[in-house]
Amino acid sequence: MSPRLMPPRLMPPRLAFGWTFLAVLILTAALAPARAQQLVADLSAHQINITAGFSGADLLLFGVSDGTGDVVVIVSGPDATARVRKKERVSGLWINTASVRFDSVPSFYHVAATDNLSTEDIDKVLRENGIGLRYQNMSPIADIAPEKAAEFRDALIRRKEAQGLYSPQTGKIEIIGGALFRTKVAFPATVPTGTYRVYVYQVADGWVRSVTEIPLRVGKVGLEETVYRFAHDQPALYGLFAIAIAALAGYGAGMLFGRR
Amino acid sequence: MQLYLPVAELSVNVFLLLGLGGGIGFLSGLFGVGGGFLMTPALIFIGIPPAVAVASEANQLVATSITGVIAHWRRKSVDFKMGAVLLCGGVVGSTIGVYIFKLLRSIGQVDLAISLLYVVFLGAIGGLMFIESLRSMVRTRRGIARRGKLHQHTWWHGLPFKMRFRRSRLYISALLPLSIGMFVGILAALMGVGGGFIMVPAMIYILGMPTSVVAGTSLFQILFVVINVTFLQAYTNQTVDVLLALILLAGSVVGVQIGTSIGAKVSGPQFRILLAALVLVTCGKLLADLLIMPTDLFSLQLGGGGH
Repeated sequence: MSPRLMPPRLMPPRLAFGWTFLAVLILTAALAPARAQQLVADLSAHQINITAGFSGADLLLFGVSDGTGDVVVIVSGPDATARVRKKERVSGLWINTASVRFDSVPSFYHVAATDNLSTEDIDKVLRENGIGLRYQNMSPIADIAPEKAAEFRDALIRRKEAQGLYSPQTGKIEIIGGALFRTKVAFPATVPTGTYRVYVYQVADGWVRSVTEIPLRVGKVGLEETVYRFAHDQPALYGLFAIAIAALAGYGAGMLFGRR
Repeated sequence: MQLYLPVAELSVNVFLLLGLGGGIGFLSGLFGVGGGFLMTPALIFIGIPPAVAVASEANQLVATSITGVIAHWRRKSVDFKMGAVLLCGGVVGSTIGVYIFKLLRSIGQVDLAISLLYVVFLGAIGGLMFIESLRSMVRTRRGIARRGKLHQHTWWHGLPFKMRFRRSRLYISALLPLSIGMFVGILAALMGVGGGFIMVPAMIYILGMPTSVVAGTSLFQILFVVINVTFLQAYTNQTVDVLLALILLAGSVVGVQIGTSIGAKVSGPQFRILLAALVLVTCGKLLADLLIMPTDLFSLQLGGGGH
């Protein structure tokens, strides 16, 4: 069942959204026809700052489309290599036996879509356009049977979901008044740092009509950045510093408690 | 209160870490073991990446063992001469251990080797100590004040290069502590811990050191081992999280003080039976991990470079 062109639905007026959001929407709505684009979208912030008190962040993705078709949003973090190991019982002990290495595994992955699209529809769109996680070039490096590769890839996705870095369910994109849309993207405290890819697809009849890319960076700031840079840029000095701090703290405590 | 750790790259509860540091610091002060064999699994359990857990724990142990050494030094319960001889062996042993570690990694079974080593050593040491201390407690209760020989004479007392260790009231061959230090050094490098939980029983049962000087001397030796490990980890792997280590040590310095003062009041057999129970519980947990079917047969390792 492929998604068809949907006429703009009549929505009850929504009162509960922020003034900034409204202002930006009016602005983007005004700009949209002038630039002759089918879809315009943006994020509430283009930079997530990781500070000492960081415990995750929620961003708002919003935009306006010409009302035709559906909207699919994919947010993916910087790619990394990952190794999936499988445990098997060998003479009574559960030990790692097989392992498969994957290249270019997104460190973070989130999909959101408008209500009209069922999970099957989304899967079909992603597969046919080669943009979904399962259909991406996230293929094992070793030369193994496809069923075995799928088993390990599913395990990888399962582990990532358990870590909160892949969303097990498709996020909802709200449509307001037929053309405006918005969705919330939640980033957990363990969000990997780096440059993210945020794509907004306009989909009609099962095909991608337009793609909009929004820049997003996740990075440490302040003390977090300083310590991290110190540890990575001057490892020897950092090591001595770590020992000195610990020695001083230990000595201080010893003196403090010993004087009773 | 949540705090983001810069090197571990995740957000943790500060009070959880303080509590963990305090509890394990207490055990450390009580038994003179570094506590690494408990802290590292605990950190991994709360979600810290294993590489960061091992390295930052070593950093934290620098502080814990200095505080411990100071506390024992005040009570004159550190045999510096014995500690130095053990350390010489330890340096040689840990170098050999790092080489064996590389060898095991090339075969691809370093995890299994570590788990099995833990189970075998914790099980054997814990079991032997438990039986021995139980026997001596029963003997004391029955009131049979059977004062045995001060120590049994075995073949190792005939070894050359005899040295006098005044504080331990021993006159033994230097080869004995040297080889114990070396052996423990090998295991410490392989298992990523200070090695106190092997060193302490070895000092009591093989060297025949008085229980009162064992904890302090063991901590003295561990101090140098963990300084070495911290530097090597920071330099080669960049996995030492100073912030994590600082929070853990803030909790542990308090715990160590309480542990040390209580340790002075506990009798020898009681001390040993407690340590034995602790070692056996850890061993049982590790053994269960190997025997019970895991909930997910698959595990994920990021940035998994190939071997």
